[in-house]
Amino acid sequence: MSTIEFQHVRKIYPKATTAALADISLTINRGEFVILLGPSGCGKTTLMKMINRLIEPSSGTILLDGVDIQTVNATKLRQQIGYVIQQVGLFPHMTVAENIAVVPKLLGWPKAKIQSRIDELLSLIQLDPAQFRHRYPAQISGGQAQRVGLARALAADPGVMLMDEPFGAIDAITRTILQDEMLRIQQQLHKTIVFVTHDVEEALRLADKIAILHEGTIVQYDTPLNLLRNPANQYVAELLGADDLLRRLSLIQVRHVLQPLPKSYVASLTTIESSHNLRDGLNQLLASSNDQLLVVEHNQPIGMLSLAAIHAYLHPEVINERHR
Amino acid sequence: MNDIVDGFNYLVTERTAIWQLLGQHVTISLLGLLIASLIALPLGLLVVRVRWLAGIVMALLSILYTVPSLAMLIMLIAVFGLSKTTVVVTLVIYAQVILVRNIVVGMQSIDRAVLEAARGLGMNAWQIWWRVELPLALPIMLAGLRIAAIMCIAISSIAAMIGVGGLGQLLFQGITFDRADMIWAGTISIAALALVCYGLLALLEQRLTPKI
Repeated sequence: MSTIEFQHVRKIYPKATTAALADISLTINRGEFVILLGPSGCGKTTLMKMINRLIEPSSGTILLDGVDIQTVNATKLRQQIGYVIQQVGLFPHMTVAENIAVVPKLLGWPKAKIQSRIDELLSLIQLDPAQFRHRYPAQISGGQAQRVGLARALAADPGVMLMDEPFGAIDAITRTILQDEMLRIQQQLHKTIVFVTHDVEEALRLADKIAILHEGTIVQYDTPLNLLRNPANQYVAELLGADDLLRRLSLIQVRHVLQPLPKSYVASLTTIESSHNLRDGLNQLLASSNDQLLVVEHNQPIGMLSLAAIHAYLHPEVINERHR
Repeated sequence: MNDIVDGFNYLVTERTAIWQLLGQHVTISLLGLLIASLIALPLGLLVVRVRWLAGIVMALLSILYTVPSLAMLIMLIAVFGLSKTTVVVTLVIYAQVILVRNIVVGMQSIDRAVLEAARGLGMNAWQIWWRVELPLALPIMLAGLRIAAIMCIAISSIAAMIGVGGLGQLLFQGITFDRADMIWAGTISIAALALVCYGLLALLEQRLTPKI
């Protein structure tokens, strides 16, 4: 887990007339899952690749845990940062196990430690070690290959993970599964993740925070919820589809809009798990013959959800007026 | 048909001399191939990394390659005289095109994503070369070596003309003395040498090719 800080970073490619990145200042906190979102050519990949010095800034400073990365040997720096790319790039002449072992080997880990780490990681990415250890990349599916790519990046337990559209080339169903896996793994490992994508749904789904890039600048940097509630400008609003209220609801868990449990309530109320999102809640409310749902957590009722509560959540200003 | 049998007979009866000629042939061919490889590897790698050089170098080598080997030998006699050096330099020049081209093709056949991953994971230039580029490009490089080796054996046969020995001497003497058995003995032994060499290198190639 590490903090990443960009200070007035600029990048102008030789022969280019405009800056690829213009005066970027951005702080990515320890353990945050940050997504760089924007159309192709907005500079998101350039920004990410500066963190492991695959691209050097034209000016400005990048600090990793307070240390200027220019003062660190580039290969040493990269060995401490996980790196996952869209085309995966597994080494075709190495087995799955050998691929995962690359960075630990570079770091000179003892053999036994590397072997147990390989098994640990294969279990983490839910590939049976006995079955997959000795396979070559050509013998596994695209989705499995990207899992191995993830395991390879995680091998030396880096504090930072850089992910460049890792699920971009994978079919929709597998992509959703891998996104869920990613969330599960992040809950377990709490890495600082910088993840590049142009897929808005993916960004809203995965990110703790999203930095929206447009023509080399960061237009807005905030949590998905705040971005949808208060888009900084028309560009952000259109990119995210902020007008789509159902999309906003799908990002909020039922537990955040609970109404207190009344002393007595109808026993036949439909129930909903507190971890479900408001979009599911709305769906069930509309399907139900009652105007309320019973919210449960670990099978215990903890509150109620009503249409009025959802409406009030989407219009906080109305509540404030009433209170006045 | 009888001539062929006579050819085999000649190989058996004159085996002491044949072994000597074979030794000369192999020595010259190997020397040429070795020096050619030592030049081709750095040259090939340079060409891969410095794009603008590729066109110039390949064009130059291709032009040299179109010069008939006999003409090349005669031109080089003017420089190095009637010596082994002349033959070896000829071999080095001809093998260059094949070796360099296969090194370039082999290196370019590597998926760029694999190289980016290698760099991104923190391998230095040497580690990328040794652990990734070399093993992946090796099969194509070795295929080049195999073809170059056969070519060296062939050109070395002609080189006997300038008196440096080798199995080609059987051919030239056979023509001079109108001895069909000597010509057949030369043909058979050169073909056998080429086949054995081809087989050994193919085997090596198979051994060193990644499983998948």
